[in-house]
Amino acid sequence: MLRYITTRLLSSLFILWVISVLVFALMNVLPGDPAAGILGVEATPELIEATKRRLGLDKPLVERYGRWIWNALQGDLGTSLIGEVSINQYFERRVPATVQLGVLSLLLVIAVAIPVGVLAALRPGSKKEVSASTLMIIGNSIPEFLTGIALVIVLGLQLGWFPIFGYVPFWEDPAENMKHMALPVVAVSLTATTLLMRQTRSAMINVLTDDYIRTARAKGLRERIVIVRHGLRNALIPIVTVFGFQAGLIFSGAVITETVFAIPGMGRLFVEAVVQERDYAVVQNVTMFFAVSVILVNLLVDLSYPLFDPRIRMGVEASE
Amino acid sequence: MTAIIETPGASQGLKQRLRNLGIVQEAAPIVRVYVRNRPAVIGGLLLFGFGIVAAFAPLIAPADPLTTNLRLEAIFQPPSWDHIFGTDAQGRDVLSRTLYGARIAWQIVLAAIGVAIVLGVPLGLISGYIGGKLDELIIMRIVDALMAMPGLILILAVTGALGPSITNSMIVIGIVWSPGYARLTRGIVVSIRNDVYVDAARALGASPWRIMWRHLLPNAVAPIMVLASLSAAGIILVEAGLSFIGAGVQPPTPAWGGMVSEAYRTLIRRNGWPMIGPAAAIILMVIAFNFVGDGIRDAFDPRLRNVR
Repeated sequence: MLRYITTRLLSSLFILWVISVLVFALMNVLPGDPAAGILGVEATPELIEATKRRLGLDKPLVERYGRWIWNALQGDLGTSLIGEVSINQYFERRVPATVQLGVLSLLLVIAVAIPVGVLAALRPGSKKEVSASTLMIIGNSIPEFLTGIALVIVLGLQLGWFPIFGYVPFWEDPAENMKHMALPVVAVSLTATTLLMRQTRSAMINVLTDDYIRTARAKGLRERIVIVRHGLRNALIPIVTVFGFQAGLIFSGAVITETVFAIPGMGRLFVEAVVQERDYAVVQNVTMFFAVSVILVNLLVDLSYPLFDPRIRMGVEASE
Repeated sequence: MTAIIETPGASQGLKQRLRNLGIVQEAAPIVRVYVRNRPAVIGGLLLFGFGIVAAFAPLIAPADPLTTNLRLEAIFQPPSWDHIFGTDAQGRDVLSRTLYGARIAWQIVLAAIGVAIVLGVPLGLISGYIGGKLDELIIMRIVDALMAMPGLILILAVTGALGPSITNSMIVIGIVWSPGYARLTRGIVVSIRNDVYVDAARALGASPWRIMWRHLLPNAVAPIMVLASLSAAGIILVEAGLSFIGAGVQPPTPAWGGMVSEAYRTLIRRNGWPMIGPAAAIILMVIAFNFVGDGIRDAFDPRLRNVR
């Protein structure tokens, strides 16, 4: 058990390290001189040199990478190239909205997809199966921003139930905060929900044909206990695995959705840094924020397996 | 010397190669299975339509996609016989822009898949055939790390380094999609690298490059084609999102995502008509690619269902 946890933890850290190296290399090896970019047309070679020295860009790559990671681990993300503002300040202002959007969306996905998926598994319609998967494909073919815009038009503009843009911090006004979050959360979680629903349904259908389910029924257990305690518990492993994949979907959905709803979160910051400012000091830190978020959700998923699977708890290799 | 060697992996047609792989008994059933799949046929027709529109956009489009008309009565027109999808904030004909948008979409899909194949397949070939530490410790670890990240995040990060433009979108999407091709190719190579005909070629003194190119690669062609058709829908989606947030194709080039974004900005003050055309086009093309991708996969080999 302890070994399982350590391995997962180490492999997550390893992946993060590889990503950080790749991101740093991309930002710094690809063409484009940031110092010249900041100074614009008035750049003289001397000015560029001076700016590089001030920003520490004249140091060797390895040293810059080392300094970036070392400082970041101690909570200092450095300064942006444009305006030279502390990136920590950006993060303090931008992280709460994105984390809230991400966590609420993940919760909504679980809360909707698993019950509906289980219910759908209880009556597998043989004829309707084909058209259901066709519908699923159509559902997955609609980009998040169009879902978001449709929500804005119907629930925001026509019915006037929800505000259509902006963000109010939770600790300032919880009710307003939730109102502002409602539409973005639905827009972000829709695709992930349909995918997880399908996974839940097929995992449940698989499990419910097993012998122990028949045994449980024969023992006279109530149907609800058979379904939830015997069925769902065993179906959860594949469901949870797919849920891990969805974390990526949720966070990339957040980047797009923050633009639709003008939410001042990390996604907006990312887009501003990439498109308007070309500020790679911000870009590499924001990229790592999303990498950490996605890997963290996946780590939590991995660490939750022992809860469902006693084989892992006991340290037995799960053999598939 | 090596030119005389006739080995199964190398010199036969696609049909025979597929037969050898055990993927199909005959090539004909591939077509038969595909044609029986109704959504796949509909998707194929749709894509054909998008292809015609892309190829002949200047002949089909009623107006020039870039000509603006800023007179007050010319902008934000609702649909009419003159402008079937209405006009946008700058008085441009939305139908024409939507039709030209098919060109952009096709260009990006084809170019991005091309880049992904050119980068990913050789990497997978080398990694799988040479194996050892290079494979286990370096290439596949990088592939794993890249695949653990959501595509859009990586794409934005690389765009941050290169800058947003249509060419960069093609390159960046291709880069981000390439690990999937590397992993698929590697898997196939690892499973066949010790087959008899590979040993035979090696014994006859064929160079590693020749073995990879003539004997291993042909076996990967069919699965790579399947993966390509499956990745097209995702590429359209990601490109639309990218153009929507402003990090992809730049205006005034008529990319569908960017058109929706422009129309969305004026939604409250004016009307949403200019969104309808491009929004419908994105959804239709993604559905078509999804249907075709699934159809091709099922026709070639349902066992490939789990490739990304």
